Amino acid sequence: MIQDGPDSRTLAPSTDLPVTPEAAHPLQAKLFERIGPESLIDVIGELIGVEVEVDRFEVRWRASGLARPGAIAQLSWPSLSTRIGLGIEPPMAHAIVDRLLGHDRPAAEGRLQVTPVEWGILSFVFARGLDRLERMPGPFGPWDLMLDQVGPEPFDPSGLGAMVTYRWRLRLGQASASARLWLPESLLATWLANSPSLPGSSVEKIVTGEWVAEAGTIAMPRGLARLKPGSLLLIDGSPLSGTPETPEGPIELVLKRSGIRSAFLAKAAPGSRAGRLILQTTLRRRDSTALTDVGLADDTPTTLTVELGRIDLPADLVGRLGPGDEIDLARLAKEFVMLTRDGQVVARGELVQVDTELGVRLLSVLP
Amino acid sequence: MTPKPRNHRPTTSDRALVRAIRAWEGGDLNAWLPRFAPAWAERLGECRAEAVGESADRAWAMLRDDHARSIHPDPSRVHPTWFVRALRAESPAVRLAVAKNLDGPTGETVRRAIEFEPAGDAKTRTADPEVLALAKALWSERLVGDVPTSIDDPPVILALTRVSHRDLARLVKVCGIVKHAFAVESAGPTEDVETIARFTPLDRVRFAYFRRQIGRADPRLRPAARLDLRAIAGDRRRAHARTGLLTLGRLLASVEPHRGRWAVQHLPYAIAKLLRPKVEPPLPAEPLLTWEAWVLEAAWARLFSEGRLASGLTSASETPTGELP
Repeated sequence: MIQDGPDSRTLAPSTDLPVTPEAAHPLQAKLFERIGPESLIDVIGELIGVEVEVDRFEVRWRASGLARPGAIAQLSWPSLSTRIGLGIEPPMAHAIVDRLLGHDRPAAEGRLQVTPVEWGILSFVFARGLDRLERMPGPFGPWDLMLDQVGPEPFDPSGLGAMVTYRWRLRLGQASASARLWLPESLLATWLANSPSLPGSSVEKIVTGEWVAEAGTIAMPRGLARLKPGSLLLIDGSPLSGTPETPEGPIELVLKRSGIRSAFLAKAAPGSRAGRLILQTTLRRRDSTALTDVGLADDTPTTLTVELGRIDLPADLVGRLGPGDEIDLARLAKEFVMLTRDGQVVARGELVQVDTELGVRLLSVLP
Repeated sequence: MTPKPRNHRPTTSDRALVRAIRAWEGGDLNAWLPRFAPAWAERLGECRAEAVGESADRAWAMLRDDHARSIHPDPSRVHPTWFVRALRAESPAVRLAVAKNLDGPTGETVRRAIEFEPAGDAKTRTADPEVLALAKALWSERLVGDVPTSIDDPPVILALTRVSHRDLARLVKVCGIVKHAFAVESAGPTEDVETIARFTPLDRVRFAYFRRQIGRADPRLRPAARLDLRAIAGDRRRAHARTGLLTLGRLLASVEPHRGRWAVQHLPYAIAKLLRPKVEPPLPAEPLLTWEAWVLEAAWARLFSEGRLASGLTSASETPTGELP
């Protein structure tokens, strides 16, 4: 899907990665040196004498809950005046406790609800993880984490701002389940921006967010009221020419986060119907001045963005991307282009040729 | 005894945690308390005494026993109507397979509860063993197990889990009479009072007794009690029982949720649904809880003194130990 460039440039997050303004958070002087849950996983392994395997790993730039909460530890971090959460699904909660107590659970019972006795034992496991952490060096200062509660209640992110969810797939014997670490985005952004030596095993797979392939904008001086299926709309400034199969002209692969617009300039790969992009530049960043106009009345003037597709890109790849690299948006041949306003899809359409330019014929308008 | 808010009472998981520290770390609880938020550490300190003198092996064995006892709901502690409800949510094939293949007392309870007739499924195919194992394990997954006793169980949990259904029905009704006594100023039930609820001669004696007990309680309690009585207006025969259920419902909502859920499974499902109060009196949460706890204890003490409840709460005292808010 994604082809790496010929060289092996190293990740330089302080210059290339779109780090959020929360990096200016007062906590910025203190850094993660190591992601805490790895220590916890080690602790569990030590306690039960069996290694806990980490199958998959990814980061979501939002608070993403567990499908079935088994045990959720909510922790305060007094020296940083913040809170974090760590949760595991029932099969893993059962597997840990069953191993500790020598209980033989039939596989079919892995989905049963976690009990208070198990929460108690898992509280001890979490506490032991904190004990181990405290003995490790921490670039954020002391690991003075404190357990507020362990139970089935969802992590409460109120007052913490934007959240990031760190997701793993864990395996312990026959049990396989999801685990989550919930962090304030400011904490992770600070770490990404300032860490002198990022632990590759952790950061390489971080997904930076959803990148959008933009083919220009369409001004709607009379608002969305005139948006009707069948309408033909021209892209402002006529940026695209050629044919729908091989559009020609500038396309931007953009990530907008917290007021920062990071973008690669690209062009459509020949014959791909803009399903594949060839990058023309390295990553560029600038402040985003886009105004949020969600919720405006239908007759309020607005500007729509023509989106060719969206894709999640991992941090290590973003750091290495450059001119000539090809990005596959995984668009189907007849897939719609989207007209969006502030990231929200308002209409779907298709690229059509209008004289020498490409425009968008609307196929449907979302209510 | 003033009921502690949920966060201040040691829970089953707190006890398991203290025991786990003893089992795997030898038991210096003080060294571990800084790992927990102050309110939690305080609760852990309260259950410290239980594990004192317990060897690590003994603590581990007790944890293992408690774990084994709480994984599944104990069929002897779940009213059959909950099993029926759980099975009703399943497909007919799963219902049949579960009823036919469940072993032990749960199987008997379920078959009896859904009036299962083995002859009716003579032509059905044998279920795939793996699928059957899943169905047997998961059909009742919403029902919860827990340890049968906990020294911190509040009176509402004791009432639901240790009192026979017949005695519980009596206790709930007398709770309603206590609440009714709060709603009026007269010494005994007047004609006006009897339009709301039906009184037996014994109920009248009890009502007069509670009126004397209440004396000059906080005047805010009168409108609150009237509000509860109004909420069940129209059902004169069951008015006191329905009002008493509101008391149990409010107290139950204040206990640790898992324990509360485990306890409520002892009741018929249709009755459990009535525990959810439809109105909230104009009182802050803490005085409201204190009041409801007093109502329950007063009813319990009275019935115990009448010889109609086999056991008292903490003593054979005829008067509740709590103070009115």
